[in-house]
Amino acid sequence: MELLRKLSDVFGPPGAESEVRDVLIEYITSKMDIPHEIDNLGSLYFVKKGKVDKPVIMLDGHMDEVGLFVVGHTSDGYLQFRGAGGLDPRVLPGKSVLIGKERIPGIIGTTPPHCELRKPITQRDKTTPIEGHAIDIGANSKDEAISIAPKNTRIMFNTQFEDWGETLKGKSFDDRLGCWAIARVFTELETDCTLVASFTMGEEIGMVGARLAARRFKPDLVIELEGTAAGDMPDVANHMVCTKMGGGPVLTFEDRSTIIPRYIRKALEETADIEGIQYQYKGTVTGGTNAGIMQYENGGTKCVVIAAGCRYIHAPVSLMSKSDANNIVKLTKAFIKRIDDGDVVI
Amino acid sequence: MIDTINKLIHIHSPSGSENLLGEVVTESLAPKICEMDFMGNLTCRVEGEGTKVLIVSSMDEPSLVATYIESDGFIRFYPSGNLRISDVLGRQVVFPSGISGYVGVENNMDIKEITGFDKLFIDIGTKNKKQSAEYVDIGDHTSFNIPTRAEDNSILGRDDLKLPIAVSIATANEVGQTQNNLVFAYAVQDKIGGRGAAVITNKEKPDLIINLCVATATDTPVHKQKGSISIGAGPVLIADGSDIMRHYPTNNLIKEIASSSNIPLQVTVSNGLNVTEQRMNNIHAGIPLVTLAIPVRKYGKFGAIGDTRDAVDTSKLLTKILRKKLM
Amino acid sequence: MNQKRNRFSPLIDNLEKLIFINSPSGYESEIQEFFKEVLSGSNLKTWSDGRNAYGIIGNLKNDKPRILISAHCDEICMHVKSITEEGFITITENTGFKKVLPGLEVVVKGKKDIPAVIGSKPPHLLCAGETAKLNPIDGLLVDTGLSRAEIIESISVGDPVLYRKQFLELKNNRFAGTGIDNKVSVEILIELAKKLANVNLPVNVIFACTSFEEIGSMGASLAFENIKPDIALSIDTFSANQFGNKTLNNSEIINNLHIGNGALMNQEISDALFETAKNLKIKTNNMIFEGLGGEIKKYIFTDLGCPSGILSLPIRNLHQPVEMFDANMAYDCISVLDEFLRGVPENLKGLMA
Repeated sequence: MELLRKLSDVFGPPGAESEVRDVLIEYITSKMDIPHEIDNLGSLYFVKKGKVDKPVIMLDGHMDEVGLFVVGHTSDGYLQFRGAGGLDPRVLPGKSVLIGKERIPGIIGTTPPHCELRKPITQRDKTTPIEGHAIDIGANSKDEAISIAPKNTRIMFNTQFEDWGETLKGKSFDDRLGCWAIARVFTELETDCTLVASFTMGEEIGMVGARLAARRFKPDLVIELEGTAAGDMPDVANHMVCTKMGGGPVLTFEDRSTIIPRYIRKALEETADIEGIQYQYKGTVTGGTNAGIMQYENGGTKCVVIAAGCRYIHAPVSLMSKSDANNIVKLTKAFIKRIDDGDVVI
Repeated sequence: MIDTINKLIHIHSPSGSENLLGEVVTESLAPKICEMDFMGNLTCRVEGEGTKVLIVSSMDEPSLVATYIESDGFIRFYPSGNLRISDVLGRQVVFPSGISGYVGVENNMDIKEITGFDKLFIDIGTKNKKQSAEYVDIGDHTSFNIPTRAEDNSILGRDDLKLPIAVSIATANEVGQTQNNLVFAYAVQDKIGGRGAAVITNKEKPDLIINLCVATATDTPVHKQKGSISIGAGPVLIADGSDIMRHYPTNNLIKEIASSSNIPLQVTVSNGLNVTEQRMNNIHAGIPLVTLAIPVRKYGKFGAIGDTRDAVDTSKLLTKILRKKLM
Repeated sequence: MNQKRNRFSPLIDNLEKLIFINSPSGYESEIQEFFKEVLSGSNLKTWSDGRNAYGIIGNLKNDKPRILISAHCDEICMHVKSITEEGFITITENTGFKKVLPGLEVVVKGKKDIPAVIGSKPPHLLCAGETAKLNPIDGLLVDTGLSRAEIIESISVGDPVLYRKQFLELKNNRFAGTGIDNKVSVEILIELAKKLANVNLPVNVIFACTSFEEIGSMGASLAFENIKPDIALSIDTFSANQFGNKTLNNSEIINNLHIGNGALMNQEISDALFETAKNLKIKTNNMIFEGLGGEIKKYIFTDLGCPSGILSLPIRNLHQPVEMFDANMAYDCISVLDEFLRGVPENLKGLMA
């Protein structure tokens, strides 16, 4: 879990994933002597060559997290910002953030309750849109704010990883959990298939890294490893519960961007049954992954998604289950093993 | 033509489960060989020297995907394709297993309270989860049950009436050796963002794409006077619009061929965004595209009425185009 | 256009010529011929590939790194949708802008260019409340003054309809005209090429006058495939702050050159461009470019992509018949690029390996 702690805590909003990259390079090269590749956009790849007649399997996850970036400065030294990736503005008030790779602390405040009560009733209890928030870094003037955090500086939430036993707390489990799982499968699995570990950038701002990754390696199968949204909360109706935290690996049959080929999904289910791993479906057709872009490349690429349900993703703090994390690694390994053995033909 | 249409029009082909239709298409193209990829896309080649032309038509219909089975047997779903609640409420649907049911909503619910698809369910008349699970697998796509009829001059049915496919099959069977390298493609998952078409284009890397689709006819009582698109008035060339890089020389060639061989041709421009065409257009270094459509009157999301003569004329025109040296 | 002009003369004279060539997306050959003609006059080798026109300093046969600098030459247009029985033409909005159409002079590019006006009902005939509403696009009729028979002879459905061109000199070296987006960048390419034509550069510089930008940047993707550049720069225009519209990402028209920055931009290129501008004492605006369209996207995403950067001129009234820019900015842009290209190997060591 030490790797997951490191991955969760590092700085990695879209376009500023270098710290995540460094952690992954350090971990993987410490386990095996293997060169890495970085593409024009900053995605990171490792390739472990297998036998020629075996398929090329790409394990893909994204390095970036939902964050913020500076777009302007007010005359009294506040930073104006926008979300990098899909962000719910309701989670912003009262949070602290870290700005830039130097991690300059800042806070997002809101009107105190005392003053809120003085507002007319019609104006209370309204969500402030993202444009209505600003970050206070303690600067006195616009010039000072600009010199500390110029436009385009990336910002992340200030959240520390904690191990609560079975449950883990931290930020950006979407998709550092995927990065963690890939790093483990890639370093631990012995196989004759060619394995590509692909850590892509910019998924949260439109899956931008995905197409270059797919074109570069022309994989026969992409296994997308994801931290996905869990919906096991009391106010969500049964049929709208997307996934459950602790409910085992999540197999997607369809999301907004792709329909997973049924025979591959069935093979995955079989594998889970053989291994005695309890699995669940992603019960809503929502969200999208890199698979939605990769499926078009190289004249059609087969993709499958294995995820873990994390509660409260795309927010400053999220929770996930340790057993889910271990099980997606176990399932992925077993699945590749079966492909290698010829039990599963993709 | 009418026989082909009759064979195709009754078949349900929801996005993601186009296999039944695929079988019929393969059969109708025999003895020519159809290749199928892992998604279910079909391609049929009429090889020749010269320009590689991809003739694309789509096989699927908008559908619903089963996501959850309630303990009392009701099935919850998500829309697949661009559907509104009013499009589906009260409709009869069919699952791949053949079982049909109705799209329903709680009895005491006011229309204003139906804010999302999560309020709706499909009732297939089963008593519990176990019984429903015998007929319905999570991830199954349903199609809509709408009566179909294909007679000499009028066709009535769902969505695009499978006319583009019928035209494509007829043309592939008719065209013979040409000066172009032809690939007839039958794309899946088109109504959910032109996914099959994008995969085929990516694989084939054609020099020119001819997109066969339907154009919404506007010859309804009031609009009719303004010289708009009518059914029974011949194929439609969508000349420009909707931010697509089109191939103007081929557009002009189509106009010439139509007038010289006395095939009626309607010319129009497209106003809306066509995701499929944009996807295909944007692949590799950008592939120029021509759109040939068959006029169809659309009623709601599913009901449609067309004219067999248009399909016959479109096929005639397309055959003549493909026999000319393109680009 | 007979006012006296100062040091901007060559640039403005050429720009005026460019502006009066009609070049809607898909009909760029005329303007590209002009581009090639001007460049070959400066001893540059020129050619076209069916979609774009190119000029080169250097030679594609040597193994020096290649820098592609492109500006699109197509302009926005509408299309003929139908021709009514009475001899009016209805149009699609497409890349045009509905708000500016009533009372506007346009040109229909049929078999020949036919001037026309878009009528608007006189106030005398308006009912209560009608002034507050914008006409639906179908209600905006193009009137050529010709009969239906005459129209059908030379105009067919799908033909482009353009704003009628105008070009005005305003105060303080500011100019307004139709299609400044992106003819001004094409002119910047021309001036830059002329300036560098006889300089021995350590790189090959390819100037591309590209097509189809307004409807998906298909010219840029072909330019990428054909040139296979090591670095691509796109020169374009971007909205400036103006009366009634001030946003955080925009800047003032006079004093800020937009330089692209953001998650998709290559940081080394952006930094080098900022640095060059700073050394020349040219003010810049950090234009955050995230998930937007334009040619840059094609350079990043075609095949395996290449490191890319973007320079944009701030323009007021974008996509309107009266786009406005400041000639000082055009000169600043040329200076930045000139300086940047002369110093390229030092600027971008990492990228030029």
